[in-house]
Amino acid sequence: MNPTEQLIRQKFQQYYLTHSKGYYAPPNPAEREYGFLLFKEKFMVRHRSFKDPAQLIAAIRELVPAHVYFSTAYYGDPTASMDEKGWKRADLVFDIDADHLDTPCKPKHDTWKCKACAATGKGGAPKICPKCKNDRLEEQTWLCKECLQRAKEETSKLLEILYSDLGINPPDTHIFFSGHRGYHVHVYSKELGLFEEEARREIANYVLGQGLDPELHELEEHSVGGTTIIEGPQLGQPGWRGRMTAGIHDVLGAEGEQYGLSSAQTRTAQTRTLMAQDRDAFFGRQFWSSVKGIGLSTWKILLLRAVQERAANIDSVVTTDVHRLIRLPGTLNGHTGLMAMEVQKEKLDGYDPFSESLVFQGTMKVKVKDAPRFELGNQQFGPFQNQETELPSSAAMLLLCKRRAEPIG
Amino acid sequence: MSNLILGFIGEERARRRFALAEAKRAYDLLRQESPEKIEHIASSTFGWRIKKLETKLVRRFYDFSVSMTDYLRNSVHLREPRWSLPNRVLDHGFVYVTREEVARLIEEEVRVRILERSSRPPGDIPRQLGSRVDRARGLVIKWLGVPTKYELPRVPVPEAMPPCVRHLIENLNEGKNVQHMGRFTLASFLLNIGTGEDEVVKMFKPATDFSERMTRYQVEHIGGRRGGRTKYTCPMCTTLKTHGVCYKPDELCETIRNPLSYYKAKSRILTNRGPKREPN
Ligand SMILES: [Zn+2]
Ligand SMILES: [Zn+2]
Repeated sequence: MNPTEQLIRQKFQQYYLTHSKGYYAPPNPAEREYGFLLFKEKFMVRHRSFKDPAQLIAAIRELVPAHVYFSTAYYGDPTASMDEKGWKRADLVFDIDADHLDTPCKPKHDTWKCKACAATGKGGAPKICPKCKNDRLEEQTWLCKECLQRAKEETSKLLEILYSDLGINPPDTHIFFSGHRGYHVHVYSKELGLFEEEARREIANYVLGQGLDPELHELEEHSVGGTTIIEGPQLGQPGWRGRMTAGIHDVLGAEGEQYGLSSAQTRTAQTRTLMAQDRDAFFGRQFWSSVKGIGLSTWKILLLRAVQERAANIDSVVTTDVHRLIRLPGTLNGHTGLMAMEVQKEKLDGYDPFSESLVFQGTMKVKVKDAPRFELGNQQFGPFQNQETELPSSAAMLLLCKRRAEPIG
Repeated sequence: MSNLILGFIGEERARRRFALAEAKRAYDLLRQESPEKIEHIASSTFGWRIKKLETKLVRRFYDFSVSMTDYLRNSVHLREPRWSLPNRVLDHGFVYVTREEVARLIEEEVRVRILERSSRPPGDIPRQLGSRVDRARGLVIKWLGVPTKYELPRVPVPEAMPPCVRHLIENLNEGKNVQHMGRFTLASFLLNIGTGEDEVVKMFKPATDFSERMTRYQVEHIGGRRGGRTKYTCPMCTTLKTHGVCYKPDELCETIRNPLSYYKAKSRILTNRGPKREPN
């Protein structure tokens, strides 16, 4: 462990030793597998189980891990090897992370570096290095308000789909701030918990609108007495039908510009015709064939764009995996020093991850290498460039965890 | 030893082939059933949560909605894009489906269940495939068989009888009055598909005004043994419509003009020699 890690671990230890409340117990905690990622050599302790939450807290205090995970699955024997655990079921989980969102602010605060050729760039890392085609890329991300706001919006969209389409009972859904760049939604349902990988993939695809074909939703062209008419989904219809039709509002409406509709490549005569429509009259029953010059293929493109807007941008790998280890709420996130925590559904809109997840008291002196301007606990900090400074502990810990600062002395 | 293994592999293949064939048969039977019966089979036999919907969205008519769980359990095996969840109408945990789609989903359920049941290791000496097939076939007939509420005439393929003829039998059994055209239709239909005269006479027994002597006379007359020695054929659908004998015509009815052609076409489907499942 280097001095930075030692200091972080020491602070984590202090926190865990002085707090015995605020841990989160998932349903059937004894049937879960727990995993701990240690500061020391990034070693992963897995296949642990605890008969009661007190034992879990004791283990956290003893190990002082950088990250604490639990399995979304329920097992007969959580300590056995993977093949012999005896899988019973698994919570349906959704992960919304800024890593998977295409936010415009990313080039401002994220950078990447190729581990092979040391090439660097701004924004999220590409899949492969543009220089040497290697896929070993390292990202340096930042905790950004705009990114987390987007993640929250995606979470709201997800919940709406879960409730009105999938029929999930709101009390069965739990929302958690991950302590870093996103939110997790866990669904506790005996029925859905039994779903295997394929069914979960279908659900993930549904939420993402992945593979949705407007023609299979009856966007169709018919010939009636020699004239061609177009029919399709209507506002107010259940599921994606109503949602994507309403999404046409977004794409064509006042917000059209910000969705890039007016960019050069899409500024066609057709879209201009569309954007000039009187909206109320336009969304009447026969609107699919009411605009002269707009054919099936244009509608299809617009609907697919509407689907993109209304879909919830989840990481489908997490939803599909029935053996997933996921962050345990009520523990500290080693990437930030913030607490992963449950957010009440009714309070999601007003939830501020930059003030409600702080746990460290007092101030700390650190040497900041470089950091952009940021906000934490309703205070502004930075930007910093190679300077020693005294900061509230939570801000100092964030910089330490992000390796943007070092301890002094 | 290797013989034994080969034997098992052979059985496994046959098992799959059999499950598939039986499931397809279930599909062909169900596809033409009334919505009531489909709903009944899905909910009582397979324990599905299924609701009658009867809604038209654009042009497609959705007879039912089934719970997402029951839908996904079966749809995940179906590869066409139309089965993927994002391409479905999903409303509060229920997926909109047409009657044909329910039949297709049940086909899947039947296939998987037969495979599951027959893959249970036999407790004693492995039975011959034949008896296992019989057992499973009995199962399928139990699931999908025509209700035993009334007795069906012994005809080669009772499931292939058109809705009007079934309705006539039902009415007779319930003691309802069946008019002359109805009786004539039933008798001529049964005689033309090769039912024996005794058997046909028996069908009229539940009628309130049943007279064995009169009925036998009429049946023999229709069969061509009396009178002008002309064997009467079954009336055309148009005639049956004017006389109010036509009852709840189904999709197949739209393609035929006589109940006898219905029987022929459906028997062909049921015995798996019929046209392939409609593509879409
Ligand atoms: Zn490179
Ligand atoms: Zn950002």
